[in-house]
Amino acid sequence: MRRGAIEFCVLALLSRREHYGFELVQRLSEADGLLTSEGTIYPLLSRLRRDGLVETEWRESTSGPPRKYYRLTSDGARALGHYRGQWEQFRNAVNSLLYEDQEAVSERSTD
Amino acid sequence: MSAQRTEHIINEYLDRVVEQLSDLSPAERAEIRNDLRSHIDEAIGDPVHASEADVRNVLERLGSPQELAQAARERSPESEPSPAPPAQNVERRINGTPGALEVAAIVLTVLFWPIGILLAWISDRWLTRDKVIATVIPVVGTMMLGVVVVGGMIAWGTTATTTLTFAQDRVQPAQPASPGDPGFRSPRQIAESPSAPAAVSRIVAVMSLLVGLLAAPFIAGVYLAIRLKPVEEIIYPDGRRWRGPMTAGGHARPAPPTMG
Repeated sequence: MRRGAIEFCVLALLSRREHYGFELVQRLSEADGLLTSEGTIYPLLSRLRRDGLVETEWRESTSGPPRKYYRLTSDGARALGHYRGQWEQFRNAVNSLLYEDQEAVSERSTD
Repeated sequence: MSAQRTEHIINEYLDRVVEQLSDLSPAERAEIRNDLRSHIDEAIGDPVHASEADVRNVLERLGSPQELAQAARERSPESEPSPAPPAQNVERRINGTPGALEVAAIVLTVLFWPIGILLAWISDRWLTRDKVIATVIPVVGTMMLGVVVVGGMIAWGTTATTTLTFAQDRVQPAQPASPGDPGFRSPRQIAESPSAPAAVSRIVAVMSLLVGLLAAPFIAGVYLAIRLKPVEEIIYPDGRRWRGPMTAGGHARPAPPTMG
């Protein structure tokens, strides 16, 4: 489940702007516990590219070798929108079950 | 840690990853290897200043080859696999063995530096900065030598003139002094008696000769030997190539040619 989520986190990051690989890893690492092994992002990116959800472009860098930039394709944007809808449903369903009792408890205690 | 050692550790890791990915297509394997390599270079920065622990830490954070292979095998359930567009990879080749040109440049710099330095400038295994430094060392040495030779010629000229004038004074003296007089010194003795400044300038001359002719080219040769870099060749997706000395994992080297 985590890996499926990471995939869409990548698409979400790319929906804001283009990133190169190392940058994506840094952004994902900022979110605690999301990325256990940084390297797994690269097979994932390769797959997203093969699936046509992202496209890549080599661009020069001022500080070193050229960098491979990833950009969201229209297919990728569609997949992201679809996932957002699914995720919301999923999150609500899980939340309602996970926190039902607690809400009931806190409601009772405020009474 | 040396760049070669860093290179060795990284390649060993990448080789193990690629080995685990044997069920993927060669293009996919090459792509993942290249992507990991770029990541490692970005994470390490200057390999010369990176300790072995730094490098190993970067590799550890990337994950074990098994973990990466497992991630590579997963297919996303949402999207159907489609024929993959060809991988667009920048290929990097690194060669750490010095060639005949570099060996000749170092040896000739010590023996006859103008040729050695010229060869060093032809080679692409040194940074421009290091070539400039290696050139400046023997040039300064030679200049020191030049100054001493010219200075010595002027000084010698002055002494000779003085001696001659003195001798003429002695040839027709108003009150001739005899060699038996206690204070008498022949012009020859006066010309040859080493005064303290003359001794110092002689030592300076010998030192400059040593520095100018022997030490400076030797230092320049040693400097070149130390600063020799592995050569890096980059082949761009469009077939263009860039070659140059490897620095900082490729980070400090001049910007590659403009890409289309």
